[in-house]
Formats: sequence, C-alpha cells, structure tokens
Amino acid sequence: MRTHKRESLKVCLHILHLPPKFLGFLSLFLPRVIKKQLFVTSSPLQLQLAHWVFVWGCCDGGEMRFQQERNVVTNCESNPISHEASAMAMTPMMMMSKSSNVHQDPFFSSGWVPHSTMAHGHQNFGCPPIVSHRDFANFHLPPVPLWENQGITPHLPNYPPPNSGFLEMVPTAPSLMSSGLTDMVGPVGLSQYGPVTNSRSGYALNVEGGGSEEAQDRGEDTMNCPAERRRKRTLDSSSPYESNKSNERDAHRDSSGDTRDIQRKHHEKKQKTEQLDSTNSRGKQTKEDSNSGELHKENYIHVRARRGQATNSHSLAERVRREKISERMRMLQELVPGCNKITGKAVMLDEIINYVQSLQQQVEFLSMKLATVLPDLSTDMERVLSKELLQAGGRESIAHGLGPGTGPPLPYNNIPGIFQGALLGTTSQYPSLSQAQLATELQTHFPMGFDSTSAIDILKQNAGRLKPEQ
Amino acid sequence: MTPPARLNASASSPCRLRTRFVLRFLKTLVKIKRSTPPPPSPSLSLTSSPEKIGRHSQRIKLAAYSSMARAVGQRRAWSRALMLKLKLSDKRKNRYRWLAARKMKQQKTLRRGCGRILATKRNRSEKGSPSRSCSGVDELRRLVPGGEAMDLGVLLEETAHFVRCLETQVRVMSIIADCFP
Repeated sequence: MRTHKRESLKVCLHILHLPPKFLGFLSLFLPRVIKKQLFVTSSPLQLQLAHWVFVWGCCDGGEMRFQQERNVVTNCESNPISHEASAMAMTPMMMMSKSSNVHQDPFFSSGWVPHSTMAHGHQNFGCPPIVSHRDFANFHLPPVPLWENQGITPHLPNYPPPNSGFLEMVPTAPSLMSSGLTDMVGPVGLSQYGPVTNSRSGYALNVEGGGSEEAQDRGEDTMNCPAERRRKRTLDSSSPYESNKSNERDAHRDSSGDTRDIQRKHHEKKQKTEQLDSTNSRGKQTKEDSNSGELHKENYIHVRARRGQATNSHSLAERVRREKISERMRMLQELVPGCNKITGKAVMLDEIINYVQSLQQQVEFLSMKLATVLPDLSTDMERVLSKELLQAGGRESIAHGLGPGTGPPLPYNNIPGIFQGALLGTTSQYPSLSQAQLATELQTHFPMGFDSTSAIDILKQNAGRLKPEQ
Repeated sequence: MTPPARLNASASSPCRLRTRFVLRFLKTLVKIKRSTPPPPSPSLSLTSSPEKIGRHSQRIKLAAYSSMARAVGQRRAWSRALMLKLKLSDKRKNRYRWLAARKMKQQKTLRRGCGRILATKRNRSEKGSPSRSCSGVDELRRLVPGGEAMDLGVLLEETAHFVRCLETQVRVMSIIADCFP
C-alpha cells in the first residue's frame, strides 16, 4: 500500500509541476493510472479524504515531506494548532465547494463531512493538511471517478476551473498554513513549501489572469520566508562547518554576495591563519620531538587543506613534507654565512655542501697544524697563552692570527672570553701534576664552572711534562 | 620553538657542547702525546718526518671527530653513525678485522641501498632538474656520516647540527693551535 501511495504521489507531482496546458492531456492518462489505484484501495472514506487531500497534496513537493510530516503528525496529535489548521482547512474546502462544479459539489460536500468526522474521530488526523499527505496516494482517486463519469470532452472544460480552484486554494492555504504551522512543521517542511507555492501561484496566474493577486502576495511572502530560512540555514551551516567545501556551497547558494563574501573571507583568513598556526605549531612540535632525539615520533598529524589546494591525502602529506624541508632549508640558510640572498633549493644545497667541505678541510688543516706543533711544546707556551688572552684585543689578535691560517673568519666570541676569565681565575695555578691526577683535576675544575681552565691546565701540564721529558 | 630560537638556545648553552668537546679532545690529545715516542734528540724540534706528521695529523683528526661524536652522544643520528664507524674501524685493527669489514660492508651496502631507494624515490618526487638535485643531495649524504639512510628532512636537520659541531671543532682547534706559535 505504501509503495503504491508513493508511486501515485510521484505521478501526481509530475503532473502538477507541468503547465496547465498539459494538465488536460494528462488528465486523460490519469484515469488509467488511477484506475489501478482505485481497485487497490478499499475504503471509501479514504477515497473521500484523499480527494480532499488532493488539494493539499499540491502544496507538498515530495515523499520526504510525506515521511517527515508523518512524524510531525504523530507528534502533534493533541496540538491546539491542529484545530486551527482544521479550521483553516475548512475555509478552503468551502471555497472549493463554491467554485467547483455541480458535479463536484456533492463529492466535496460528501468528502467534507467525512473529513470533519475523521478529524474528530481519528487522532492521527489532527493536522488535516499534514495528515492528508498520508493518504496522498489516494488523493487523485476522487477526481478520477468524477472525470470518468463525466467523460472526456466535458472533463476538459471542467478541468481548468477545478484546477484553478485548486490552484487558487493552494497558495492561500499554504500561506496560512505556513504562518500558522511554522512551529509545528519546522523550517524544513516550510522551506519546501516555498518553491511549490511559487509554482502554484504561477499556475494560478496562468490560469486566471489577475484574480490571484492575493495569492501572489502570499506566494511572495512564502517565498521570502523560506528563502530567509534557507539563508539562515546556510549561515548556521557555515558556522559549524569550517571546511572549504561548505564555503563553496554557501557561495553558490548566496544571492547577495557582499556580506557573504566578507564572511567567507573571514572564514578563509581564519582557516588560513589557523592552518598556518597549526602547521607552525606542528612544525615546532615535530622539531621538539626530533630535538629530543627519540625515534618514536607521532606521525599522526592533523592537516587541513587550504583554500584552492588539493585535498587528497597524498598531496596533503606531500605538502607537509615540503613545508618541513623548506623550514629546514631556512634553518641552514641562517647557519651558513652569506646565504641570506640565495633563493632556491639546488643553489642552497650546493652552498651547504661547499660549507661542510670547507669546514672539514679546516679541521684537517688544524689537525696537521697541531700535529706539527704539539711535539714542540715548551714552558713558554703558558706565557704566550696568558699574554695573548690577557691582551685587550685578545679576540682581535686571535682573529688576526687565525685569519691566514683558517679559511672563512668565524666569530670567536665565547671561547676567548672563557679563556680570559679562566686565566684571570687561575693565573697563579701552575700545578705540575702527573698524568694520573689529570682526571681528578679535570673533575675538580669542571664543577667550578671554569671549564676552560681544565684545557689550560692540561696544556700547562703538557708543557710541564714535556720539559722533563725533553 | 622556532628554528632560530632553537639555535640560539643551543648557542646560549654551547658551553656544554663546546666544553665537552674540549675536554674530550684534550684528553685524546694527551693520549696521543703519550703514545708518540719522544724524539731522540732534544735539539731537534722537527723530528717527525712528513709521514709521521701525516700519521699524527690523521690521529689528531680522528681524535677530534671521535671526541666530538662522544660529546654529542647518542642524541644525533650522525654521531651514532660516526661512533659506529669508528668502532668498526678500530676493530679492524684487531684480529677480527675481517668480521668488522664484513659488518661495515653490510652496513654500507644497506645504507647505500636505503639511500639509493630513498634517493630514487626523492628524485621521482622532487621537482626541478633531477641531475642537479640528485648530485646535491647525494653529496650531502656522503658528507654527513650516516646520511645515506636518512630522509631528506632528517638529513637537513642532521646537517644543521653537524655544521654547528664542525664549527665548534674548528674554533677550539684553531684556538689551541694558535696558543702555540
């Protein structure tokens, strides 16, 4: 039964959405379709109700509402508004009865009576307009017997007025309904009323030239309401959804682009900043992890796709990787001297390689130097050391001394200072300790904080040792 | 922490790294001093022949690198790789040198294989001229110890730390070398 109803619903919808010209044609076909339905349905009461419902069926657009309002129906059993709706429904029915043909009058009147009885009798039909959707399948049944009885030719002329009557009713009733039943039905159902009412009002205009101004106004009102509701819904949807897809959807939906554009831009900016901040924080987090040196990093990172970028998981991962690499390249740029102006990975890489090679060559050269110098240690080294380090321009001298020896001049800020401080602290100490006490010396010196003193002591010890050896 | 902040932080406490390195380096220097036989005649200053100087410099260089690696510890991949390499090269001198050589070979092949696989993957994924980026990245891998089995991002990080360590090494050694005329 339900499937049949749905099928009939579909048929009726298709029919109703067509212009009135074709309605006459299709009315011929209607009987065939509805004949089957006729035989299927059993209860006469249902048929009558369905006929009355036919009008209200025009208002609704689809099966979805059919199901939704079913729920609403179950909910609003004892709703006082239902009585209002029934009252409202009463009036259109009366109108219909007035405008309808003689043939239809008895039917309607007959249909009306059972409706009222039904309204009171059945709790489910507390909201007649909504309830009607239940038996929407049967709505087209009542007209069929009428038309069939009358025949095709009389049927055609009869068709426009009933349609007009129906169509006239349709815009008014839904408007009333929409105004009265907003709370009950909810925004979803009402929004769906919007386009249908527009179409219905259009039909009304087509059928009757200027007699439906009221219907037009009401239709416009209804049009405005659902449109506003639609916009409200989009706004509501945009706030929770922060993805770009929803923004694009909003862009499509929104007619007035200014305010929406601004909102979208804000959204995008927020997203971008959020994403940047998140990526930065994530980068920092990853760096901290790597700094800790632990291998068990958390590879599960939440990344958001920026506007205008692919949202494929592979591309996202690639982007994250590229950002990581670019960050590290920037770091290296700061390390390597003279690479601030260089842009580009390849050139930067070459520079880094050159720098590393130069440093390694320096180490080799210095080791050679030490190899030649170390065997020639003498006690004069201490004095030389102290002299050099105590000089005012100790740093400069060291720098100059190292200039020809080493390659690129490196900043020597800390070491000379440390040496200076250490020397000042330990000028008097010239311990001639044996090698066995070296370790203890180092340990005693280390906690003091003058770490470089150990170096100097070692040097002095070496000098001292070498002396007796030599 | 941002990269420069990290660098600054490490620079603010470079004393630890530097001092550690200095300690170890000087220790090793002392050891080398001890190991080198004293010159027969005190008058001769330059007793060692160029070969001896060459060997001496090599030992000092090794000492510098090993002391630096030990100063860094197990925190860095390059230091770990370097320590392993030195260990194996030390073992070479022992009677189990063929085992060590085998291990080294295996490790090298593994690393190279990984590096090649990674490199090929990187080459396919990276934009720009493949030959240039290829050579650059491959060379960097060769320079940094243990760089062949590393991701590009990890490799760049390791190079940054390696560069800093090399800089400190050079500074300390230059100062020590400068102490003696």
